[in-house]
Amino acid sequence: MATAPTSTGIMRRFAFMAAALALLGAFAVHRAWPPVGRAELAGTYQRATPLLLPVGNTPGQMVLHADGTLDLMGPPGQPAVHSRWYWDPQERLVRTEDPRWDRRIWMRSTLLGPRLCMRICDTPLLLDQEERDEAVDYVRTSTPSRP
Amino acid sequence: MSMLWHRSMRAHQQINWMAVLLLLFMLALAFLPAWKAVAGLERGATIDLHRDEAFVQALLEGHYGQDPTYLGGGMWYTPLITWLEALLTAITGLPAAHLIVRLGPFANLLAPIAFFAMCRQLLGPVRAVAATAAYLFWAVGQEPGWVVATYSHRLIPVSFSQSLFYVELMLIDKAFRTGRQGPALVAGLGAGLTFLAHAAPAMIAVLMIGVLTGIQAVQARRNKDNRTLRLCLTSCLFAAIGFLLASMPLTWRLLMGGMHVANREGFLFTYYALTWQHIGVLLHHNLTWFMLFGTAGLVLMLRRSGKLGTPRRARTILLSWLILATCLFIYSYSISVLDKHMGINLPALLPTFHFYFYASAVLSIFAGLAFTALCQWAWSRVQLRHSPQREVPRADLVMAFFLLIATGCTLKYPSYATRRDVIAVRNRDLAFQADQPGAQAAAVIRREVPWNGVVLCDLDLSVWPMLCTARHVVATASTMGNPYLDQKQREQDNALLLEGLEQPRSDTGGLLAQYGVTHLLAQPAQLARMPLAARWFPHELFRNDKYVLLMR
Repeated sequence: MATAPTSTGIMRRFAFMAAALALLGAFAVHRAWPPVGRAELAGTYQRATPLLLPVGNTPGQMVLHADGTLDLMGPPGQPAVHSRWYWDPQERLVRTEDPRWDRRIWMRSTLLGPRLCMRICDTPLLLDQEERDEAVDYVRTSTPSRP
Repeated sequence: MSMLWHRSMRAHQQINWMAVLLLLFMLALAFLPAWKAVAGLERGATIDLHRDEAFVQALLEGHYGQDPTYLGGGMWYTPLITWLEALLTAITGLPAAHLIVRLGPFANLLAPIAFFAMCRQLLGPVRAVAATAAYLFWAVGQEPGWVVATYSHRLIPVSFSQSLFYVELMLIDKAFRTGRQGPALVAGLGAGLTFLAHAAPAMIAVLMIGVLTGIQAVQARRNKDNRTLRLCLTSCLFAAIGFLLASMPLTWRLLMGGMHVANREGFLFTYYALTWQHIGVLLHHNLTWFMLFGTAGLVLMLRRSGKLGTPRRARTILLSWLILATCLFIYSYSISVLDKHMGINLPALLPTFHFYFYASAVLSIFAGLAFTALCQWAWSRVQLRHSPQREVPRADLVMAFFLLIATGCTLKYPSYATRRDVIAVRNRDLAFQADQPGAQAAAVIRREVPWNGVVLCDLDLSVWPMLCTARHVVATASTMGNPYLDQKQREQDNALLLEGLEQPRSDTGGLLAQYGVTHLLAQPAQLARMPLAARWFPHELFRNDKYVLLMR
């Protein structure tokens, strides 16, 4: 026979569930947009190697120097890029002086923490009507470098 | 007995309210990144939003039913969203572009709400919660929001119109459950209204009414039940009348203007990840837990597994939905391949991704069903092993299940909130917003060029800054061109006209007159290569760093 829910029981369940959802929501929001400063971002990054996603001509290595310069190296046959970078904390976006790389590097969040990633397609954003916005992750391999 | 019934109802209501509470939790989580994605934007970068802005502007200027891009063309795009946007623009007094870009996160909330309501009607509140969680947080991954059925912040027809489709499925379910003509008429009206928002969901809905009628008719015929047979055919007729009535604002104009499709480009567009050369991208996006659960749900559904607890009608609706979306997808894909690679022109429906979109929506339901079945199985194993005699109240079990789903959503949330559909789209919007000369030129064009004017410009400029202005051009991008006008001829003539401004051509005057060209829009560097421009367009109306507008 089904157990009859009393009014107190119903209220108790709702209160418990609402409280649990509020806690989970707060945790979710905190994990989604953790504050990241420019200093924390500086360092050397290696491109991840996804199994199926073609990574095009994205650089194999990216170095965000603490002095505000940026080095992009590889893949073979591609010239190294040297430019200046700055961090847009509001948009969580790496901006560069070189327009080819500007707005191509951004931060996405994961359960294990934030990750830098780079848009693979090199067609400028405003000309790419098909929105080829697949991005490849970059994994940090060393702590901030000093000038 | 009455007491028992009362208690059971109370428990049922309690579960319903818990489901609503969880829906609110999921909606709040989904809304937050969407809202952040449009913060501070005055206009979206997406070409579809520019097209809609042009239709809104045309409507506000009193040119209902006219094509804002090609002079003399009629309405060709499904108008419901632009009607709503025009109404809200008129009420609020906000610029259309501003309203369209900011309204998206709010208006598109209708989609998950309608999805939940539809699942609740078909499958009950518990499975509806699981399916909605899959739809909101697991279906999309890193694919664009216009390819996968989910909540997205852009007010583009594909995203908005799904809400009408889910409501329409509820109406179809009711019509076939009651077997009466009134609900059938309402279902037809719903399909017509859906058609005004977008053709893809309307096609699936209309075909589904046909399929369900067919199934019912065959069953009635087998049972030699002529009364039911007559009733179901009459109901289908009522649904057809309802569809025609509700879709009249568009179908009337299409029928009056002739249905011959002269520009197939828009219909043949294929989402790049669905092409053979990008199969890796497709697999990368689709080898996921979501797809695994979706497939498991489908298999259980096909095997008529009692584990899913799906009522028979719901099963028929869900399976016919998937089969129809898949067949339409295969047909559209074949048409596109035959046209592009073999030059064979068969009647085209719509771009393939629209049907992929609706197949993904039903997969969300299957994923939710499979997850619920898995949890039920796991609980039965636990109970069997540890406390077979102890009965746990159903409300407690459901609450635990809901909290498990909420925890799953929370764990997925960081990547969901910063998914490509949010971050990359906002990134593009911000890059676009930085183009102030373009916005300035668009404002001037709208102010200076009359409705009957025609602006000559190259195809790139016809998209931005021209498309949103609701002012006519000789030719625009093929996917934005009126499908019932000869796009190729226009593109050729546009190129000849621009060439005629660089070197003398005998046909320039004739073509300018033929298209009623009144203005020229060019970039300063482009204009420097057009020595004859001043002869045909002697008056300079506007100039900034990137654009020059001249008048004849």
